Amino acid sequence: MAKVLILGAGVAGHTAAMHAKRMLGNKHEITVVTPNSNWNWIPSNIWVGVGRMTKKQVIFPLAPVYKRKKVNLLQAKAVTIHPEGDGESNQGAVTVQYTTGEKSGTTELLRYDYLINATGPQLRFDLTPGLGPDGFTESVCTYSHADAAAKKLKSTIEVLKTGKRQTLLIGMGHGTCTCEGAAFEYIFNVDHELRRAGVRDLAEVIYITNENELGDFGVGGMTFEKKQQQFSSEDWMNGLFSKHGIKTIMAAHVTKVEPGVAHFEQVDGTSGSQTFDFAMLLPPFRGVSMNAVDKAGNDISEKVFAPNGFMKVDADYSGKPYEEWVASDWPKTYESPAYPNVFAVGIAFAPPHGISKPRKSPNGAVIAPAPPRTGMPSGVQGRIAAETIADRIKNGNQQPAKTASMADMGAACIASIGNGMLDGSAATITMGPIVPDFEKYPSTGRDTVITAGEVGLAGHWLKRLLHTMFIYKAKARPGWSQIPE
Amino acid sequence: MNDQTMMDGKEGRRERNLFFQFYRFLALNLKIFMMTKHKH
Repeated sequence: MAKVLILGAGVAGHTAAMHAKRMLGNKHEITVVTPNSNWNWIPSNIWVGVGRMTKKQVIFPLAPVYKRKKVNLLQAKAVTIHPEGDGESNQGAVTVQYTTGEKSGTTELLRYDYLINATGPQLRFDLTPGLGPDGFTESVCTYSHADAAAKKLKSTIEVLKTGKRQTLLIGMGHGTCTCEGAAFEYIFNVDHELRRAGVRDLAEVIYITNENELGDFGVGGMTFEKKQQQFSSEDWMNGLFSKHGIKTIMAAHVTKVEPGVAHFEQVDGTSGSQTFDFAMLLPPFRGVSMNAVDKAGNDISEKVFAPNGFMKVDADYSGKPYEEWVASDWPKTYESPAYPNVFAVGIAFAPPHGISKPRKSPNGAVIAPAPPRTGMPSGVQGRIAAETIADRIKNGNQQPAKTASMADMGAACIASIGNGMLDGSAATITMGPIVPDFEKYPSTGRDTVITAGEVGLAGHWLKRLLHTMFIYKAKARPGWSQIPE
Repeated sequence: MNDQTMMDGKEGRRERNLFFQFYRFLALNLKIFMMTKHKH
């Protein structure tokens, strides 16, 4: 009986667990370790954050699903990876620390034959003093954060209704943030709610971002083709922001947040401060706090993890300059180069470099969006890691790994602009590949048939459909495996 | 200012046309489904 250990139960980890169980059945042991008791459909946190959905609508408890599917669930966090085993055995192991119940705080060593690291991000609010729910800004990264943001937004709208002007600052709380799409969605949903409440004219809505141009989204922007004419995602987004009366602070690194004021510096060396009555600023992501040790107990974290804490996989980490970046730098199999029975998927794998052009302020602050690895690519990576492992367990370790490079994978991003079955809207962006490949598509780096963007109610219906469909899938209801990632 | 007055021209009319939006909903579903079937 082989033991498959999966760290994390987000989109990537949960998808990997469900597919591994489907392919391996009860003959092998699948164990999931996660500090969270609930599964969260994170894209809908945006709607929780504006009070259009409740927390309960975007989460469900994992335990009943895993019990039904006969997958072991441990509510714990991974602390140390022992990829070479320890003094007692050559078999790889992970030290986990329980986070709830009677065992809370105690540690246990879990052995594995195959390990999937899908631990997701560590939300590093601390990298910007004053950032986050423990500081002076809101967040929508978790359903609890989103719920708190909704309450604060509601009170801001109440103040606006009294006729008092308010400033709402939404965007990225650090120069190295990712998930610009989430901040984009949130600001347009807030705009929609302000219009719905009839107070938009009294509100100043400001978007602060580490993107050099609007529409970059951490993927270096996109070029669309319509009626044989090309236009950029920057043009498209400039039009949308202008149409909604949203001001922008571009290429910014928020250095510090104090009560009611965010301080920032920009790529051109400009420093500034922006006052606010309501702020939702996303934090930068880093890998979770986890180290790796060899058989003798010596720290080998540098061999296993990149400096940002994400796990090294089959990517090119040589640190070449921007001009030399190529699509083939990106990983295909998500296997650790040092330990082929260890995989890292979703946000947990270390990207070889950004996709957007890296920039620094004269003070040396990096101001460049990190590449997104969420949603559709996360799910695909989780599935192919599970497929590789199942194939090797059934047919031997010589079986080649399945591949799914982000430089060959398309993605759809449906960015909500407002929730409502008749008055809602969304920007639907499809792109292929996610990482531009200028060797294959010399003109724009992407397939112009696949890469497109449009705004409309259809996008809102689609996003709402995906909400229901992916929660159904994650609950492993009948036919779940037929629903694509 | 509301969403209706912000939009103008053909694009704006299409964004409010339920029949056109339903057609786009079906077309986008099909496009995304086909993208997921792409072999890596």
